[in-house]
Amino acid sequence: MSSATPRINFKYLSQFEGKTVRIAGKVGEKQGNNVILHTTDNGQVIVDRSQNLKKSYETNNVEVLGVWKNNQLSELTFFNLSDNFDFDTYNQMIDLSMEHKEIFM
Amino acid sequence: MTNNPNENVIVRTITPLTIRQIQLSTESEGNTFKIDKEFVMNVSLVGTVIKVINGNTYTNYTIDDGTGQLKIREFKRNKQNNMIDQEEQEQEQEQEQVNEEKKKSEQIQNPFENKYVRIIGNLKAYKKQKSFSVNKIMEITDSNQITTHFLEAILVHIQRINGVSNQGQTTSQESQIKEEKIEIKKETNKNKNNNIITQQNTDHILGLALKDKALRLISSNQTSSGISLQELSKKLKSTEEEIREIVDFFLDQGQIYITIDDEHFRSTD
Repeated sequence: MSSATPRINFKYLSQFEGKTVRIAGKVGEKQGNNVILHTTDNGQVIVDRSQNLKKSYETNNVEVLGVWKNNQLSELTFFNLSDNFDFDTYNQMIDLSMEHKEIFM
Repeated sequence: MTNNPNENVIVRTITPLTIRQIQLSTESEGNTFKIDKEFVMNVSLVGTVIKVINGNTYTNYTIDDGTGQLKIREFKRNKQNNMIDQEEQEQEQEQEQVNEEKKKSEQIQNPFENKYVRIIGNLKAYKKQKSFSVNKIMEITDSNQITTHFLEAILVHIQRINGVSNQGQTTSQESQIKEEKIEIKKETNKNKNNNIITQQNTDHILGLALKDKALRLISSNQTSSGISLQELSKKLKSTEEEIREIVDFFLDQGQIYITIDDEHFRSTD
């Protein structure tokens, strides 16, 4: 059975050290191979894009799939999200998914 | 499939699921599966396409929705737009797959690859394994559909494990639905060109949550005259019109009855 890559936001990061997760947010400034991702719950995550530099983000909002380790998300892949993506509702969905992990992980 | 006509109706509805739920499902009679104690056949999923294998008569997709991965199959249609006979094509399946995997890996990228898609399909047993056959696959352009899908999956899961059926009827056990935490804003999509399906789904979830709250309030009222329409309207922060629709539904179902006048109700439980 394949392992899950749960959707989380900034406040749940500490629970997923070393795990592959999905974090959505608004693309911020670039710093070399890194990009700042402003998460849906107003956090900031450093995304290390060095393994996926050939592909560029095409939208302002993205979902990054990567390994969370040492306060950094090492990007494996990403998915473009629409500009009208509702962060508040998404955060509520994440909270509920954490309460019902049995159908998510 | 049982002889109970109500269960036949339930199986034909489309159930929003996660791949994790499909992985945990148990096979039941009639080639169907049970998830959260309910028969499930028609399913909707939302996830990303991570792999595509094209065959002459079908396309295999591997979908990842963050809860797991699932291989699904979309049979192609012939010139008459008929589904090519499944049995006929599955006889050639093994031979084709080996040849095609080599050839098709160099083909033009499938338009769904690495994109979020919504899938409507059938979950059934085939050769003692779970098989997912695609009826429709569509790229998601409004990402709020991702959120809505998982909210729907959570709501249906909560309702089913607490014994609320698709018709909104409760069992004799007390419902512990956490719908007060699903505070979905009606203006989920702020763009004027909102996807209508997303908004309809959001309204549907809110409607179900309101019905369940109303029934709980009526059931918890122990006075001989029952609870009034006005009190329900005030406590649920809804118009009397909306509450009237809900109580009419429960009156038809026989779950509540009128007491001193047609604006006071008690539960039949």
